[in-house]
Amino acid sequence: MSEAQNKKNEQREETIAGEHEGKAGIGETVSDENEITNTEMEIKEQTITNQGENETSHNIDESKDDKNINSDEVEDYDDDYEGDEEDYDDEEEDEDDDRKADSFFKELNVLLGESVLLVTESPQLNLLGQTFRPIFCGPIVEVGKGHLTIDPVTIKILNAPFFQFPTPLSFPLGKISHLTPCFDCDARFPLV
Amino acid sequence: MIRRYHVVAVPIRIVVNNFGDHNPDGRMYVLKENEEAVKELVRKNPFTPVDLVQPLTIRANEGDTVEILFENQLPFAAGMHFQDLDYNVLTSDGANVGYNPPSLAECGESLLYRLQTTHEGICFFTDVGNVSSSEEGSSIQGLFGTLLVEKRGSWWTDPVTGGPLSSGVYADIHNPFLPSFREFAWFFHDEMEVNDLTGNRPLNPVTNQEAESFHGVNYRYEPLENRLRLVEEGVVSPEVEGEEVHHDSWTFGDPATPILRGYRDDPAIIRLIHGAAKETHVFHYHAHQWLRDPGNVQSEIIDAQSISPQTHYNVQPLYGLGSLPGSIGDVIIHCHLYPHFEVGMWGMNRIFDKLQDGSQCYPNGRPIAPLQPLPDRPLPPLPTKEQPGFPNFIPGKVGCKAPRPPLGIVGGREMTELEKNAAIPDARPGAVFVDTSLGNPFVVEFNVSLIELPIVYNKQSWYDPKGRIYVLDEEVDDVLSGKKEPEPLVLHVPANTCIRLNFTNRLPHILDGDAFQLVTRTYESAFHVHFVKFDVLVADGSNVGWNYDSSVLPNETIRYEYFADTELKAFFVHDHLFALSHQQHGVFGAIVVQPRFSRFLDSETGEETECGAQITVHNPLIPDYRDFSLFVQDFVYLFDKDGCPIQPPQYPGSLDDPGIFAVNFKNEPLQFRLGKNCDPAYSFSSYVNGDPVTPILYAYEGDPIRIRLLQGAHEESHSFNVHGLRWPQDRPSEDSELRSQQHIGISESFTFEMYIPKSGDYLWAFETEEDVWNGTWGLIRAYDQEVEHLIPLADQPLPEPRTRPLPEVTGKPPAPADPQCTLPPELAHDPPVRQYSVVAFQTPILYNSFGDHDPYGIVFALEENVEDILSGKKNPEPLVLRGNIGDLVEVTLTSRLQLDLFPFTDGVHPYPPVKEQGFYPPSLRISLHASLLDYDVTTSSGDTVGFNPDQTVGPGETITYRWHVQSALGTCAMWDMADLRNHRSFGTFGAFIAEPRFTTYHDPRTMEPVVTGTDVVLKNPLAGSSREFVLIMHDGVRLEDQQGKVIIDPVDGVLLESDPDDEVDTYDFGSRGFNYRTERLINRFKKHPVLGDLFSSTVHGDPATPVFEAYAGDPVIIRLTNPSERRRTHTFHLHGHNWKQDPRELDSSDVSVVGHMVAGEAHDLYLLGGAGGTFNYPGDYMYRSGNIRWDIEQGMWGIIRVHSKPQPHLPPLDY
Amino acid sequence: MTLNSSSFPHSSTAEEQALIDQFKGAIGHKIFILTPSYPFLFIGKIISLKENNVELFVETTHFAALEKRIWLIHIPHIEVFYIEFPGEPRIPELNDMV
Repeated sequence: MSEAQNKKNEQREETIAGEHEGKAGIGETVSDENEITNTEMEIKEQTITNQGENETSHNIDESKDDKNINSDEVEDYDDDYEGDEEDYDDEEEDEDDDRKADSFFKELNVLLGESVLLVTESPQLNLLGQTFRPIFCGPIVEVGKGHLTIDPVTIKILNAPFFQFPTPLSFPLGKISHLTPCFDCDARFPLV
Repeated sequence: MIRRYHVVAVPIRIVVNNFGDHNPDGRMYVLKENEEAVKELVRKNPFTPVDLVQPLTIRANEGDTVEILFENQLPFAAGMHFQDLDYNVLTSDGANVGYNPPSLAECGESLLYRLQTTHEGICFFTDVGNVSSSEEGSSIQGLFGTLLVEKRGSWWTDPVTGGPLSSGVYADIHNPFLPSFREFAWFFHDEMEVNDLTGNRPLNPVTNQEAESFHGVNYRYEPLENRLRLVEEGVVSPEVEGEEVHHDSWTFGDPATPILRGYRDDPAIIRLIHGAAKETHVFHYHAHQWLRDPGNVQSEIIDAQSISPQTHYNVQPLYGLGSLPGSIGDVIIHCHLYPHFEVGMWGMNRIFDKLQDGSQCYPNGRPIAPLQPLPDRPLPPLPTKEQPGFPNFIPGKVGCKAPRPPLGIVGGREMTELEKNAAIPDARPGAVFVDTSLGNPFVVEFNVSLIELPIVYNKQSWYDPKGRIYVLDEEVDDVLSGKKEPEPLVLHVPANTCIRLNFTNRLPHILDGDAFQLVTRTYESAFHVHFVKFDVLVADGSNVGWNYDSSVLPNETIRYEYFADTELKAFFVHDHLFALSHQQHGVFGAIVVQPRFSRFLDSETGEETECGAQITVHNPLIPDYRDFSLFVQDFVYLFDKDGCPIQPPQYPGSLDDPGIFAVNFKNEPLQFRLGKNCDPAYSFSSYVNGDPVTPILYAYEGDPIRIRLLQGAHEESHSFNVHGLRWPQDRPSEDSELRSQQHIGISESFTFEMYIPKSGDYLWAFETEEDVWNGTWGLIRAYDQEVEHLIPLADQPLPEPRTRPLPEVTGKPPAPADPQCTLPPELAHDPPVRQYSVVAFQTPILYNSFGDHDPYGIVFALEENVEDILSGKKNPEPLVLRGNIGDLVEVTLTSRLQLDLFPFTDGVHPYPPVKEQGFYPPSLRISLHASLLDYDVTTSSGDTVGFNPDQTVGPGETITYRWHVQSALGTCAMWDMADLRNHRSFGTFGAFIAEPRFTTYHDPRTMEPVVTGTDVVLKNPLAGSSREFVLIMHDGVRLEDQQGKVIIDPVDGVLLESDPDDEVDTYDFGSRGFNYRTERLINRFKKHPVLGDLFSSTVHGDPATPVFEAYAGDPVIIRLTNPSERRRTHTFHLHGHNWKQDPRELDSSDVSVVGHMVAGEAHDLYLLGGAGGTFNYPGDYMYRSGNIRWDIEQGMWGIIRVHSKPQPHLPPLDY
Repeated sequence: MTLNSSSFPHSSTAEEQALIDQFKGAIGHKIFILTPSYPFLFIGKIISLKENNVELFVETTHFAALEKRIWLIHIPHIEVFYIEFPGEPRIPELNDMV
């Protein structure tokens, strides 16, 4: 093996070992993981609604009892959202912004350690000529007031969807178009 | 940094497979460091392939300077001409062009090429010192290779040893910031010389005739004929037929052709290159998809790609090896043109699930070479006794056909213990080793059978007695009883669907023999699919490598599972076991993956349906649309009503282009549509001849439509054109350029999305001459008022109730159109009006200074130029009209055609030939059709089609078309539609160029404003000035030499010894060139027989073809089109320059070639960096075809001259 | 969803300031930046902050011709970044050597 390759290997040693362990074998289907993840999310939604900013429940077993997302609950969520929109007062915009940014910061802090799927704003990015849709996955390890950091971070490159970038990556909050928590980065899902 | 390579061109014996087939006269580039070793290995192994004998593949990084010391050991001057790199054309062109000093090395000499790598990708190289298409040539005998340019900071290792690598078609590429990936260089090439062990041309053991010519990959081919001999001689399971085990490693072991090895999910790039020399192939890679343009995430997803000589693509399989579900197994990669496939143009991608460290063996005892895991991927698990990994868990028997898959066949077997250990927990019929559908619960189930029945193709009762088609089980009875007309099976599913397909083989065991084919025992068949995700081992519907044979015997049923993960247009389905034998009888169809939540309605009744080539799609979120599927077919084996075969081959079983053409099991040959007046001008008119039997696609004015374009069978290129409508090339992108034409090869699939702005009949046609002559055309009919047989779209305004009766067949030509009474549908108010007065007339055209000429030329010219042309003062060039965006262009056309000036007054046009010759006397009427522009199709398309009024003019008559330049269309092709058989190849074509607003057009010599011309300066107050060179590539020309003797090209133009056995297809005949000129090399060679000097102006003077001039750095746009006329495609290449593949899409790739140029193509090449390329090097740059066989010799080349110093005759552009 | 949508900030002022502060704290450190616009990639050392621009001595971009020079990068235009603080994973060296 060439020296350069060794270098790359070393850099990756840790992550590979980790990934290898967590990787679904042939016997373990990805679909199962997906279902669990979805349900987990569902439980978290309830928890947050009930408990505000408190720690979320991680009890997967519990969630397995209630696999299907109940459409009523989803609707409730929409209602909450609309309700807040209506409450919003235009005249106090600036002050409100700071307050909200703060509260958003706190919301994000809840996700520390959680694996998220995150998509940023532009249609494509370009890494030395390799173009890709900016879709990233991995655990949030840092939440700043203006950015969050993921490490290790998987870039969902179209022909290498499980590629782990060699360093952590940070994302300006304003550039994050959308984000979904509790996402299994080994999940297989369509990218095009 | 500078990278240096010492490359030698050597004569070499190339052994192309393990049966000892070889090319004794091969030529190859090799690194100097390997020269001795390779020569020694070849000497020691005269009948065994040598690994080092492979197309030279070297590498550099983006931004590097590459210095190549080139040494020539061949007996003629040779060189290395590089595509896609920047270089000084005076020193590093690897050619001898115009007034440049030669950059070819004579035999025994060396020279240095210095090249700049500006962008990542494939830089193909080949020799242009000896462009003979014969076995004396260089490219055709293997003299080509590639420099692969990797991303900055990359390095590469040997995939077997992990050590460094100086050259080689396989490498693992690494980069500090990017995923490591497997890189595979895959060179298709054809027509190379091949002898068998005895030194004779290989024979086909079934027909006992000479086998098909070489069609291979990386100097290897694995033809069925060799493997068949092992069957015939009882070496391997003698009970098989042949084609069904062609790719079966259980029966024969692995092929000599490339096996691209990787682990599940490994990122990979196939550097796909067409090295030489003649055919446009279709690259198909089972179970994987990629972006048409990998640099642009908004380009189309494809899984089959046409590739022409000297062109190349980067194939980056989405999701890595094994695609989305992570399939394992042997994945076949092949040219989808069946005769090429049969003769050996295939290989495999082998995806392992267990680590291969060299300790394992294949089931036949052959060791499995080690394969280094990619350093940034998880280490694959080691094989164990219980879990030996692919292929060793499959219960096959070496020397026998592959076993059938477990679970899938109704009444079939369960899994063995080893299979259980390898299977997913939820193993089920059709998805055993990967969870195809990713747990998706939305399932659609179909029951499909393959049946045999006679199919009548046209009104003349031409029929296929052995039609073989897929039908839904519930429709079998209706189809067999004649209640339902046979059509290709088209099923519809919404995206995000798991498809479970139960396939029953209801074919007879035997495909009977006749004038076309020998008796074949097609005893098993399958349903092979493209695009969707599936378990390759059990649901591929094929028999490949060490996989299962996933087909079934007669009256057996097998279940396949597919996952339609995303909206994937129409995916092709066909049989993979006896495809060569029976696909041309109709064994093809499609499943269309529609947008999620769509409902599918019968367009006539409005009832829900799941099947049909013409349906209406309703969706709650996006606009409803009409969905039409068209399948073009060639090699269609028909008999006339008296039972006589139509265009049978010389002997049954020959693959030398037997049969004719059709669309969706129908054709409408023009020869039967002459009408009482015997005037071809009304061949497309429904007033005269009734509607065609070919598909008429129904819609109402304003309806959105989607056309699914596919090719069902079998070997050839076709050119699909729609008159009066247009669509974006890449559907996912709003910036993509608009097209109204598409080249298609078998298995490709295109979706064209557009809407119909105005009622009327729109012609669709596969419009090369022979295709359309034999009936591959039909209509899109848009109604303005309600009709009974078409439901309205739910979200469109209801059509008016019918107040006017529908038009009826009268047998008489329609009334003349009155374009002045209507406006183009997209016209804004008060447009600037630009007027042209055009005359069509006959005149001789001199094609070159050697006296090659067309005495019967027919041209379009501006009225003011007619006298000069007729008096001989002006040698005509194709008419080029221009208009600016927003213009309303009024073109007044007058016919001055005279019957006595046509060559074949008896009404049969003998040369260049077409299949099914027939009486079709020349029309004196003429018209002008322009592609892409906006016009009222009932008055200004130049087509007298369907129930539209007459848009042609007879002698002395005039018509004034109204064309609207609606957007930045660039080049539009122009041609006559009155008589495609007797007019077009004589010169009735030209180009229309849509320019930006406020542009003026000027003579490059005087800078005076001009009205027409192929070489102009464009001035624009905002965009500045640029030079515009219009190149009209055309073929099928009937030329006579100075003595008046007809030139039979391509054969008459072949340099050195022409092989009398060379297959010249009907559509290869005719001379060819650019802009009514050709510089046939044979003329030059007769005068001065030195191959290396043939393009030299120092020796021969400038060619007759256009020599365009510019100053270094001048902005240059090449407007390239091919309005005429044969089915053989051409590649266009310009030395030393690049342009954007899609000029409107900045993210699109930089390219230096345009592939598969065929009737109707139109392109705009904005030269990057201007004249002289990125570094503005002055000198002579050759533009040319990329086809060694048979274009370059036949004169398809010219020069763009880039000056460094002011020239008295060429004023500079004023910026 | 875990995120309460109503708390999404409506203007980016606070965030942008926080980001500027983050970069300010990284003066002298190496940074990796991706932007959607040409030349897409910057790797270099942060020299200073000029209002909402990072002043960067760029060691590596897509093209060698644009390296070894100072670039001002508009912070609101940065889509992805990574600052190599001491003890954190290192940004790989890109070199053109074989």
